Amino acid sequence: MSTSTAPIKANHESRDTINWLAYFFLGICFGITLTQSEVLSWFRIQEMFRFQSPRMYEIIASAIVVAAVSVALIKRLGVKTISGEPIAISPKTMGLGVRYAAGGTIFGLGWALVGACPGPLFALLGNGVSVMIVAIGSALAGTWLYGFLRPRLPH
Amino acid sequence: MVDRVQVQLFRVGRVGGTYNNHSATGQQGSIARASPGGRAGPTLPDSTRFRLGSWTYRKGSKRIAGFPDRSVKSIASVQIRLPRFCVPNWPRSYQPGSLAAATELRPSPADVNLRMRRDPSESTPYRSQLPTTRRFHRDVAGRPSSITATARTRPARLRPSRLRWRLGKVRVGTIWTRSTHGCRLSDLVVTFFSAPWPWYIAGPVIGLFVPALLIVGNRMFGASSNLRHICSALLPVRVEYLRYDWKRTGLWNLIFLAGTTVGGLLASQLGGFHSIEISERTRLALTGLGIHDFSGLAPREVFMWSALLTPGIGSVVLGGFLVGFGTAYAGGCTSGHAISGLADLQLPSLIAVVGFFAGGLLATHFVLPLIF
Repeated sequence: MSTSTAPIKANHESRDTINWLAYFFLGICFGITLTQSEVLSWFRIQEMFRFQSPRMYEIIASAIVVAAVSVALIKRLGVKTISGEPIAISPKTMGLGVRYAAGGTIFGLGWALVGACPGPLFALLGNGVSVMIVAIGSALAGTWLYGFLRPRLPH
Repeated sequence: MVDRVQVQLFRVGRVGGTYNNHSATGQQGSIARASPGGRAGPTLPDSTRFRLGSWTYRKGSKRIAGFPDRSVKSIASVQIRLPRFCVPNWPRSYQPGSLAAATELRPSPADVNLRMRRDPSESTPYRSQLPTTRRFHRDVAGRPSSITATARTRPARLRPSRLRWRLGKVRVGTIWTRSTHGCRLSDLVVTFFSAPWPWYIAGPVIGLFVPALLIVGNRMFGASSNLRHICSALLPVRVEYLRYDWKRTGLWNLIFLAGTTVGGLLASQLGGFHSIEISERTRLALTGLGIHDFSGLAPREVFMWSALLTPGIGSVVLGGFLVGFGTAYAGGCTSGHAISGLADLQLPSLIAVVGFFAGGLLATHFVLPLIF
C-alpha cells in the first residue's frame, strides 16, 4: 500500500481502512453518477455513435475539461494526497502506438455492441440487468486471452 | 370539510407518435372490469416506467392547482417506481391496440394503498380515511397507461407522502411526492434521484472523480484494470501478464468497483424509474433494427437471459469479450483513457480514444445490423 512507510503498524492499518472506505464511498458515488447521467445506457451509446444527440459528447467533453483543469491545478499547486504524499501521474508509454490504435478499436467495437464500458457493466449489474454477469464473464475471458497472446501481439 | 386529492400516473413514452402524457382530468377512460382469467399475477403495462403527470386538488367542484399543504405550495411531479422483479410476469407480447392486457387489469382494494403523512401539528387521526379509490386508464392505443388513486384528506393537514402500489402482497410500486417548494430531506432525495441529471451536472461530476482519487490515494481513475485484477486473482496460470500482486496494485480499484455496483443498485432503488428518452431519430433507427422495447436501460429484447442465445450472443457475449480484450490491449477504457488520460494530455490516450470511436462507429453501422 501507499502507506507502507508508516512506522506504526496500527496507525498504518487504520489509515488503510479509512482509505478503503473512501474508495468504496467514491465507488458508490460513481455508480449513482453513471446511473443518473444515463451513460450506462445502451440507448445513449447508440445515440452517441449515430450522432443523433449531443448529450454524450457534452458529458464526456465536460468531464474531460473538469478533470484536465483539476489535474493541471493539482500539478501546479503541488497538491498532496490526504496522507501527505506527493501526487505523481505516471505517463503512458507510447511504444509503437499500435496497442492504443488496435486495442482502442477493438474496445470500441465491444463498447457499441454491449453498450457499456467496464465501469458501467458493473453499475448495470447493480441496476438489476443481471445478464451483464455474462458480459462481465466474457470480458474477463477477453482480458485473459489478451494476457495469453500478449507476447505475440505488437505493442 | 373533506376534499379529494387525486393522483394520476402516466406511462412515459410515445404511443402513436405523440407523447403519452394526459392531463390529470383528461383521458378518464373506463377500465374494463371483466377479468376473464381472474387475477393471474401481476399484469401491468409492458413499460415499467411511470411518471406522474400532475396532482389535482379538488375542493368541491373547483379545481385548484397545487397541493393542500401549508408548507408545500405545489407538487411538481410524483413518480411511481416499479421494481424489476415483477417485470417477467408482465405481458410482453402486447400489441398496441389490443385490449387484452387492459381487461386483465383489475385493481383490487389492496392494490393501491395511499399512505398519508400527518402534519405533526394535527392531532386528529385520519386512519379511517386512508382507503382510496383507484382506477386504471388506457391510452389512445388501448394500453393501460395510468392509474388514478383518490384519497380523501383535509387541506393543509395532510399530504400523501407515499403511494404504495401492491399486487396481492407484492409491492410493485411506490409513488413519492416531489415538491417544488418543500424542503424535506425526502423530497430532496427524490428530486436528486428521480430525474436524469443534465449533462452540465453529470459530466463535471464524472470529471471530479479524477482529482478525488488522486487526492485520496494518488490513484488514477480507470475501471478496466479491474478486469485484469480479477483475472489475476482467479486464473493467473501460464500468463505472465497476470502474475503480479493484484492486492497491492488493484485492491483499491476493486473496492471502488464494488462501490460502483452498489451505487447502481442504490440509484435504481432510490430513484424514480424513468425511461431513457432518446432522440426520435435514434428510436426510428433502432426500431428499424427490430428493437421495440425502449423501457429499460438497455433493450430488453437483447439483454435478457432468455435472449442470450439468439440476439444476445453478439451483443452480450461478443461485445463483452471485445471490451475485455480491447481494454487490456489498449491499457484503458473510457474512464482510463478518454477521461483520465486526456485530462493529463497524453498522446497515447488520444490515439486510443480515436480508436474507441472508430470501433464504435464500425460496430454501430456494420456489425449491429448483422446481429439483430
